[in-house]
Amino acid sequence: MSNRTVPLRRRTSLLQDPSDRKPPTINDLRVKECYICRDEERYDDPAANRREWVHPCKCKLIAHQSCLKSFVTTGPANRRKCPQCGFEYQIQSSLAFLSSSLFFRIGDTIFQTMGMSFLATSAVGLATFTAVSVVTVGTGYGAIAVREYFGPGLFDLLLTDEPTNWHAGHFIFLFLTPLRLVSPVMNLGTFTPFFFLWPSIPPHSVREQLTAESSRLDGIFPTTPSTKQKWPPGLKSFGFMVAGTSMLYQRVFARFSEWVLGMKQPEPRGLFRGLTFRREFRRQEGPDGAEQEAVLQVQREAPEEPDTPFANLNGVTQYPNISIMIGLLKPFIASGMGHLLYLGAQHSSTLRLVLGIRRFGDITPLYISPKLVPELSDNIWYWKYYTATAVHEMDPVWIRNSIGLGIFIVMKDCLHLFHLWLTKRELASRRLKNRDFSGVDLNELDLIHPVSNSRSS
Amino acid sequence: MTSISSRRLAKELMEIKNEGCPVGINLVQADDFSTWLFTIEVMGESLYQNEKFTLQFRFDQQYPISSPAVQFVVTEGRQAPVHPHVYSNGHICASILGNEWSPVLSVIAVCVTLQSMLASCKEKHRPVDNDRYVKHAPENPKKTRFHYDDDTV
Repeated sequence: MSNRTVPLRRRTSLLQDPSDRKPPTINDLRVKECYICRDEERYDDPAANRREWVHPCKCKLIAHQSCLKSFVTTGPANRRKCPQCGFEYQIQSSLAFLSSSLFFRIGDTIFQTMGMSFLATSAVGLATFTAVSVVTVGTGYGAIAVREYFGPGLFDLLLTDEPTNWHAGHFIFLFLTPLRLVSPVMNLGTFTPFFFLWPSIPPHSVREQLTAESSRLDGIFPTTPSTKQKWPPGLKSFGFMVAGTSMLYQRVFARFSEWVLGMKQPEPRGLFRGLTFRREFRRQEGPDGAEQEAVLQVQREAPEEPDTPFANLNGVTQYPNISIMIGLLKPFIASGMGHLLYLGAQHSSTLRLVLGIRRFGDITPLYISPKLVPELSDNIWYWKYYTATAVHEMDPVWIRNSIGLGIFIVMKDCLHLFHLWLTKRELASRRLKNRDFSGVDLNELDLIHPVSNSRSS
Repeated sequence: MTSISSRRLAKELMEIKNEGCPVGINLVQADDFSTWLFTIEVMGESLYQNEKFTLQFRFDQQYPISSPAVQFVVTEGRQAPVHPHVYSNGHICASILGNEWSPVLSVIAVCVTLQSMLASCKEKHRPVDNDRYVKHAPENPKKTRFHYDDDTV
C-alpha cells in the first residue's frame, strides 16, 4: 500500500487516510455485551444506565469492570487470562508502589518479628512461671517437712524461713523432698541427706539478731566446753546411723516377708520389675547353652508362678493413692510419734537417756542459747563453736522423730504383711462348696449301700 | 436488583427458547434458576447409539463466575453412560467443569462439549477408580478435586 514515512500528526489535510486514525477503543462500540453477565448496553443509552467497561485483551471479548474483577479475583489462579485469546490480563492501580515499597515492607517485617518474639516470650514465660510455681510449692513443702522433722529449734537457727539464707544444695533437696516422699519405696531415706546438709554457722541475719539480743546480756567469756558426751550423737553421726539402720531394715524385712508368705518377692521397684527378672535369666544361661536351655525352660516357668500370686496379693491389698497420702504426711507422722515418745520419756528414765532429752517442763524454750560474747561476733571460728555448742545443747527433736517414724514404718509394714498373709491363707483355703445328692434319682447312682426301691425300712 | 446469576440464566433460557437447542440436546426442565435438566443423545455412528442420558445442572449465586454443578442423573432407572470420565454415580471428570470453566461458556456449550466427549469415546469402560470414588463421593461433584489427565478420551 503506501509507504509514507511522514509522522501521522503532521498531516493536516482534511482527507485523512482511515488507516492513520488511532485504533478504536471500547467506547466506540455501538452495542457492548459483557461476556460474563451477557448484559447489553447501547451507545446511546441514557447516562444513568452506563457502567464502567473494559476491553482487557486482544480478542473481541469485553466485560464490565466489576464483572471481570470478580471473575479474576475468585477461584483458581489460571483465571488471569482471557478464555478466548489467552492474553494475560494486566491489572493496574493507583498507589501501586505500596505493595513493593521498601519502607512498608521493612515496617511490616519489623512488626511481624516483634509479634512472633512476643508470642515466644510469653510462651516461655508461662512455662517458666509454671515451673517456678511448682518448684516454689515443692520447696515450701520441703521446708515445712524438714522443720517438722528436725524440730523448729534447729531449723530456725540454721536455715530459717527466709530462702535468702539457704545455700544452693538446700534448695535442691528441699524441692526433691515431696517427690521422694511419695515414691513407692517406704523408708527413712528421705530425710537422711539432711543430716549432712546443715550449715555449720547460722546465716547472717540470725547472727546479727543474736548479737543484737545478746548485747543486753553481760559479756562473759565462754567457759571450757563440757566434754562432748557420746550420747546423744551429733547430727552427722546420727545421720549415718539412720542410713545404716534403714538399709539393714529393708534387707531384714524382705527376708522376713519371704519367709512368712513362702514366696519370692519381686523387687519393689514397680517399673524395673520386668527388667530384673530378665537379667536373672540371662545370668543363668551358662556356657552350656543347650543343656541350660532345658533347665532354663523349667526355671522360666517356676519363678513366674509366684510372681502372679504375689502380684495378685499385692494388687488386692495395696492402694497406691493411700501411699502417696502417707508419703506426704510422713514428716507430721514423725513429729507426732516423736511427741508421743517425749510424753513417754517423762515417765521413764531409760527412754530419756535413749532420746537424749535433758530438760523438761512446759515452759521450756525451744532452745537455750549459750551465752554470746559480742566482741567475738566477727570471728567465724567463734560462730562455728557457738553453733556446735548450741546444737549440742538443743533438745534433739530429730532423734525422737526419727525413732518414732521408724517405729511407725515397722508397724505399718508388719500390718501390711499380716494382711498379705491372711489374704494368702484365704486364697489357699478357697474351695468349692459340697452338696448332697438330694433331688437326684437315687437309682441312677452307683452307691456302696444301694437304696432299695420299695421303701421298706 | 436481581442477582447476576438470575439475569444471566434468564438470558440463556430466552436464547434456548428462541433459537432452540442443538441436535441431540433437549431441555427437559428449567422452572427455576437453581436446577435445570437436559437430555442428551449422541448422534450418528457412536458407541452410545440410541442411548439417551439425562443431565442435571445446578447453579449457585455466583454463576457464571463459579461453574455449575453438572452430573448425569442416575435415579429412577436412568443410568450414567459408560465412559472413562463418567463415574457410575453420574459425576463427570471434565476440565471445563473445574479449573477451565469461564463465563464465556454457557449451559448449551457444556452440553455440546459433553456430547462430543461421548461421541469421541473409543472404548466403553468405567473409570479405573470408579468403585473407590463412588463409595466416598460427596453429593456435589464440585467438592471433588478431579485430576484431569487425559483430555483426548
